[in-house]
Amino acid sequence: MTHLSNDELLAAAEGGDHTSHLRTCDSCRTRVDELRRVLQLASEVTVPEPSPLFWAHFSDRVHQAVAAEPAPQSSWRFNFAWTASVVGALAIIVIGVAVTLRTAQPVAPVAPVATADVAAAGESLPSLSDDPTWALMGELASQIDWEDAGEAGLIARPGSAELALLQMSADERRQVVELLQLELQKTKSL
Amino acid sequence: MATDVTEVLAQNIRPEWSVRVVQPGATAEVDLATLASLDEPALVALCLSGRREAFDVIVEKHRRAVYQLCYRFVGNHEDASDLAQDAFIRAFRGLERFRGQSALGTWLYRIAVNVCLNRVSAKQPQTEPLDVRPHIDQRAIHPDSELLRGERAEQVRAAIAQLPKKQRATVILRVYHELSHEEIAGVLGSSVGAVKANFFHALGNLKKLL
Ligand SMILES: [Zn+2]
Repeated sequence: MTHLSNDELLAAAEGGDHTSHLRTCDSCRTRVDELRRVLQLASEVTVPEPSPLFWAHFSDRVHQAVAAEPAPQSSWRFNFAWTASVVGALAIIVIGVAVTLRTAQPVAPVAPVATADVAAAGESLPSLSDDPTWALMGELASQIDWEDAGEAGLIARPGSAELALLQMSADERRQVVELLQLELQKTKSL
Repeated sequence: MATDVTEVLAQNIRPEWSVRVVQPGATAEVDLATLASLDEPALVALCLSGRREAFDVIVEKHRRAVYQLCYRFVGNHEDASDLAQDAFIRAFRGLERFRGQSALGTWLYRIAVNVCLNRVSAKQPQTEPLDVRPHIDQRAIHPDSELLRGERAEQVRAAIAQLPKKQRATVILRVYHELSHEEIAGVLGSSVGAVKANFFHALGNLKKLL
């Protein structure tokens, strides 16, 4: 009789595989039982729960330490590099396109799913009605490389908000950009 | 100060979606409640865009698991707390390397395990002898007694602490954090076969110690 390999013994101990062999082989059954006993003993060991105050204190400490860190570098490969040359004295532009899947309720909360800061040489924030700013936003939306966005970690999962953005067809994306541009026009006419 | 294009979009694209365009300067609207509702890729993206408060949400979601992982390695609150803090700071520094190929939690485990292994290496000799501790005579104590459970837990903790570090990491991730063999391979940077072999030998070593 061929006995179970180490991997098979482990699989039997963890998941109950190879039951037919174990029914007929005392040697393997004993070994699997031993593995199960050790697993059971180990699983009973708990970590003492720290005081409730500890967690807030812990978060505070991390927050302060992180505040002292330089900003992490964005690896988003949205095609933003070109913007510096297109718009000279751009300071910071934030695009937030928020998408949520609506539930049965007519009004769903809106969550921002893709926010990207574009920083380039410059001092002042553009005002809200600043046309070049809005125009750039429309441009940016049209320039986002959606394939790269996926690669860069914006992973689409069923039910998640960013799925909605990433699964848009080219035509739908074009429509979003058109809508953005429509909004720009409205802002312009105000 | 958001321009709501929800209705236009709903009529034009997909009725089940709502879209909001947030104007520059209006991003302060993203409050903590909204942040807490975001999924992890969105939180990471926000952090990378300079919104550090998004990292607070990540910390809050994962602090207990990361702390417990560290505690399993070092067996005391002070060190576990320091190591967990260190792990989060390193995670923040390396956030641009998170590509979403694994869950954020698994990625954080990887960092925490490395932090712990480095600490363990610095504090202890690389190869510690497996010292077989005397058994408690379990027949002498009622099986349900607190004393027995406490002693037995202490015995198991001590036995795990004596495992070679990769075996220890494997036991901790598998038994207490319920990672799959594949996920553990990702965390430890080894093959699935090596993880299974490590785990099997770890259980064998524990059996000798318990
Ligand atoms: Zn057999």
